[in-house]
Amino acid sequence: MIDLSGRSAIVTGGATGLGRAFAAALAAAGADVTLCDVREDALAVAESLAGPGRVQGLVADVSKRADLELLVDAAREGYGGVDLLVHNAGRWARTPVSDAYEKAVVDWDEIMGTNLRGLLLLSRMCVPLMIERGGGDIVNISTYYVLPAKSPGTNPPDTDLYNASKWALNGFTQAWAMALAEQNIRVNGVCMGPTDTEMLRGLWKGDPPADFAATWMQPEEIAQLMLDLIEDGRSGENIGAWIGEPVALSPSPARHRTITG
Amino acid sequence: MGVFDDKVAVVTGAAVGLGNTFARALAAEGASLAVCDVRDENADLADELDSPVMAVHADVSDADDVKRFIDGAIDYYGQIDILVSNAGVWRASLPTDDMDKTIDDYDVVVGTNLKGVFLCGRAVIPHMIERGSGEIINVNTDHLHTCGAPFEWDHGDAPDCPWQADGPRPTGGGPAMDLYDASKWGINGLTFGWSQALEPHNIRVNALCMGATDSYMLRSFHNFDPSPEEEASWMKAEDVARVMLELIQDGRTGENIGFAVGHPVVLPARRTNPYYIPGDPTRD
Repeated sequence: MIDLSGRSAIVTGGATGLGRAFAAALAAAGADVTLCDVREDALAVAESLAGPGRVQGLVADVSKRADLELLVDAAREGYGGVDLLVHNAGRWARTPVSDAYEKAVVDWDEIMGTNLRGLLLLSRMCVPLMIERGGGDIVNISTYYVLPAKSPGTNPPDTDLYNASKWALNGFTQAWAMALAEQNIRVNGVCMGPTDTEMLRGLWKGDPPADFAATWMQPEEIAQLMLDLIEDGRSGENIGAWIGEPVALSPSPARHRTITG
Repeated sequence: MGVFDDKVAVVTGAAVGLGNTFARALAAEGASLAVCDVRDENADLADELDSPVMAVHADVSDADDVKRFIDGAIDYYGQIDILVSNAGVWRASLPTDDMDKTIDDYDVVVGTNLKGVFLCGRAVIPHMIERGSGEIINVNTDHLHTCGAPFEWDHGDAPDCPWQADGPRPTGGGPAMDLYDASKWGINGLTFGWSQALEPHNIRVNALCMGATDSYMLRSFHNFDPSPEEEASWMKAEDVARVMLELIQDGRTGENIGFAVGHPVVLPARRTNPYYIPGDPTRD
């Protein structure tokens, strides 16, 4: 297993679901983790995940620049900088095309503010710190339908803004991988299908159809995939995880790494 | 007599370049136009064309501007049949940029290229649903639809393709295009999601993924002084506009139509593998 002792990681949206699994896996691998969440229990969750790496938590909203500055300060002052950045925080909401225009305008700010703009600003804050430390890893948490369709339900019709926010991450993953290769910073996307999280269970108010829920992947599997990705050293790729298939790092093509659309 | 007599087409970013050519091509087939731009030359179309033209100064990244423009067009003509979301901007942006530049770039680049497509679409869609028909064309880039990608493309129909011997061309516009490419990739979420949601309403949504085409934006990259070789390699905006007119009449939906330098500028066969597979249990 990869040893991340002495490395400082930031995980956004780390109090629950996938983010919590990412933070736990990083701490288990020895990394010092700073997690944030809009949920009030971010500090208590952090405390519960410690070991062997240290874990600190703070209540922060990634759509707010001042909150992001506090988050980065906590990682820098607590653990000496930032080496690993896992952009997990995301907002999901139904935004049907039949909605009123005024609601659409508000939805844009709320969803894009977190999923796209917040991710952008936090990266801009962390990249200089990574360069200072001689390199790093950025992982953008995306969704399976930004990869060639391999399972049903891609690009759902009622979530245009969520879909757009995740497709947009491809632009960051590609451009940053190219721009930061010389600085030893790797940038990849993790694109998973339905995974057993509170967010997904929440769509059925906690009571999903049993047949469907039985197919879901587990957050711990995705977290292991993320560790394998960091250990692997590749950059500029989207790593897919589809229900019904093994959750494993795909072989890396030697050339022409592509994100297909 | 044109194929779009009695139709009303909205074109954003129509003052120069591709948008201007798209507007002229639609008018030449009889469409009445509602055009907007942040450039004042936008108004010249009204003087130059014989067709009805409503020209509005509007910034597509501004929600109030978009609402005023679209509602104004519906009031003026009583209908909108075609929306061509063409307005777009480019700025160099890098992951090492400072915060103030980044926030400004986000507002301008993502605001125009992605939010603009979102706002124009959302402002027009309720009207199109009410009418029971419509065509939406989003203008995108070959950075996400290049020769060799998506997966089903090959070089068979393009013996002059510059990447012929080099395997699939890597996607992406380059290291200084993070915001531009993000804004354009994001359009996929709108094109594919809307195409599904609007299929029952007889409204089709497709995108044009443009490679290097003779346009204001491309000329600006070359300081308006391109070498003859570069200029000769570019696709012609008029050819792309011709394909757009075919696409509007074709009846397909939910597709990215690729235009890659070295390939024939034609409407390709319909995709056999859709960008989505219906049947998601998370759908209502």
